[in-house]
Amino acid sequence: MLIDKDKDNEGCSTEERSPASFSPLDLPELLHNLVQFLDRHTILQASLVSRAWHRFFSPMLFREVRFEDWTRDPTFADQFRKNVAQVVTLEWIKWRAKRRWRELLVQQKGQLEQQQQHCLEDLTAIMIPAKTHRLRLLVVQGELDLRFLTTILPRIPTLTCLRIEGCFIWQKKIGIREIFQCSQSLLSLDCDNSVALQFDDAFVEQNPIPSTSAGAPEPNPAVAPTATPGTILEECMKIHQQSYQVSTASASDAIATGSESQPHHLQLPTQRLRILRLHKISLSDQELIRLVQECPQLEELFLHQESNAWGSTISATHQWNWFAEFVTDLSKACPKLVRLHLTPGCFQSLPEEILLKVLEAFPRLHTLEVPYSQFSDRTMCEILRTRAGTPATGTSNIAPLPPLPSLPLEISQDLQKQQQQQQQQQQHHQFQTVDTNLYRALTSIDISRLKGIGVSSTMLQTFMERSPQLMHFRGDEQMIQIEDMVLQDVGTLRPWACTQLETLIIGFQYYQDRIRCCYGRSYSEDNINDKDMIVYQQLSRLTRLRTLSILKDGPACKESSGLRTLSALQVLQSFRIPRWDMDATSQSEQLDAIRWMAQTWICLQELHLSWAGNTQQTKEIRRMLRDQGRTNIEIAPIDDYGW
Amino acid sequence: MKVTLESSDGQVFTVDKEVAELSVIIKEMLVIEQANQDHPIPLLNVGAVELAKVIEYCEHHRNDPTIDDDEDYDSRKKPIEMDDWDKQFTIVNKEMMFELILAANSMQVKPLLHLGCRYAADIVKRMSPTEIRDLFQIDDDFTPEEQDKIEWEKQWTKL
Repeated sequence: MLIDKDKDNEGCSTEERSPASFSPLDLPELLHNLVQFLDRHTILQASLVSRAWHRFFSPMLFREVRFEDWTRDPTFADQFRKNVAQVVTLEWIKWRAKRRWRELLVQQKGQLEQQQQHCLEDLTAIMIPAKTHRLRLLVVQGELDLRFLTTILPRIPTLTCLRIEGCFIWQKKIGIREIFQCSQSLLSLDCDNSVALQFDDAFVEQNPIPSTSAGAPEPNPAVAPTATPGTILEECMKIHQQSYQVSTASASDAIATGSESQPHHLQLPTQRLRILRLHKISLSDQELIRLVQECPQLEELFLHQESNAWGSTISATHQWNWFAEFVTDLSKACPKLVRLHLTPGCFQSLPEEILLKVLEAFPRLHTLEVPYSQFSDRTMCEILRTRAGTPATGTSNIAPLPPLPSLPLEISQDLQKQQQQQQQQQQHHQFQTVDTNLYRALTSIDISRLKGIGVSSTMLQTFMERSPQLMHFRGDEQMIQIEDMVLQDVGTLRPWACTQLETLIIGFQYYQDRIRCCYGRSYSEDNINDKDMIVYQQLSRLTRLRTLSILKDGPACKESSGLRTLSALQVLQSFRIPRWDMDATSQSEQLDAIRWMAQTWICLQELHLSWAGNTQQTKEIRRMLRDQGRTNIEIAPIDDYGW
Repeated sequence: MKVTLESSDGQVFTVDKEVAELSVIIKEMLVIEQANQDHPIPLLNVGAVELAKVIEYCEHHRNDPTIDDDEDYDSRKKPIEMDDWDKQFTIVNKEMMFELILAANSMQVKPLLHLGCRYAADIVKRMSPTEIRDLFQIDDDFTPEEQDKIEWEKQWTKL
């Protein structure tokens, strides 16, 4: 049983007391503070300590609930009912879940007639009185119909994120707009192909061209009698009034409500929309534009499509293409969009012109995930011209920047030619005179999926040098040559301006044949450490880094290579470094390096090592971390890396 | 202006008022007992060793902005930015840190409480139930039947 704190403390000096004098359960308000730092695994372990701890901790396990096969257990229903108010994330996974749930209830109550009852009604029966005031994320995977969503969504007034995955019941309609209608608090909707499959039909059906007298919405055959669109709408309104009662309004009321408040053009609060595999549906450009128009708050958009133009075999009656005009229309439809993720589809490449158009059409964009494309120095140059941000103050003491564009000659000429052409076409084109006030600097860019290595090392170095507002950068293996980070004439570092960087995933080129000199000296085996030192010096300036992943090649991870210069990275949480010298003599050096990391990087939680695994050495490291009191550091292997 | 604090074992500490006011409890007491400031404020649950340490912390953080006490579930995901001083401060043995947490809790010094809880959470992380029992000297009072009953929880709670 728990130690009696008062009895234990009385008359004892601090030195004599054991940790038992601190029993978290004695002080519930203290425990509240402690719990917020615990992960799910630790909470589970804590709940198994004793009866009292179990009483306190087990409800917290219901923050994240996943319906799967285990719901067969009869005690689960009781537990779920008791703790439903704790649920923050609810996952409804696989078609089995429904059946299991029904079986479970039958088993529990022994009432055979319940076998006929739809399991979701039971679920909602639990959820309505419980008022799930913490539920934020609902994940639905598997068999799904509109009735499920229309019943459950209005009951969850706090829901902000809905994710729908893997639904292959084609005959049942799931309308994106109807989902939005049912859950007016929804800020993020994630749909994979299955929803997109039905999206078009539902869209057309629920958004007819309004006739002059059509006050009542047409009944939707896919919806159960208890949940006609009118009723749903009314429930939505009730949610606005913070009422959680089931609607029992008469049909005439429903019609009246529908006629008054169903506008032709919806104003949805959605901020994030993710639609995958658009190519599988026959959705026209205009319909997509219309949907995003109804989400004026939209800030983030994921679009994934294999277009007909790139070899899809889908009928050509509806096609959504990556034409420049479409990008312009899209930008007009969602003026608040700041994060854009475009994917033209498997093995398809997005034309560079479209990317350039995106950069031009979305001046407020700050996050760009570049799809699989042939994005090259030309686009990078355009980013530099418009989206590099303003130079940070206080950088005047660094060496002057090299002239821009430092492009290969043929590309510069090509770009100039293109500019001239475009100037002729458009009188006030922004290529020539860039108004940097008009554009917002990119703070996040992902170019890891470039086709080949489109961007030259020199251009990338220039980009890093000139983008002070960059916060997240994800690159490819072998992106930056070490000598590009050094001013060859004077042998000093060309420092990156992106000192705000929080995430850096990057590769370095260590190819011997391309190395000319470092710090003004010619290359030899001896000065490999110099190259390591250059990299470490560059990285040590990025003091806000939380994630640092060096891909493929990189500096050697040992103190003699200058690892200690990274002591400035005080908020680093995740570190990945691939290059370790594997000979026996350096093993102690590796241990030293890791010990140093554990001592220095107080926030470190993940350490990715190429040789981690079920080996003696890894165990030794874990033991060492334990001795240091850093059990919170996870040692993980580098899975996508091969020597 | 100076304020006098008295630990549970009778030791008296004199600190600046703004330092002492990092403790919500003391701040409130100062408001209530404004006229009676000559007497030391008794802190019945805080020993001299811990009080000295708490004062050391408050002295260092006297100019910090106050933190909100909201119930943000996700706050644990945000990294706590500790300066070198804080790092040095937390290099004490577990017993001392636990005492400090209790002291910070009873005096309501919220930044120190956060720091301590983070420290305690780090210690408990990845510990097995047995190890947690050993740490806090708790007896395993589950009956075999209860043990069986909670087995199912393990099954569904493990991701």
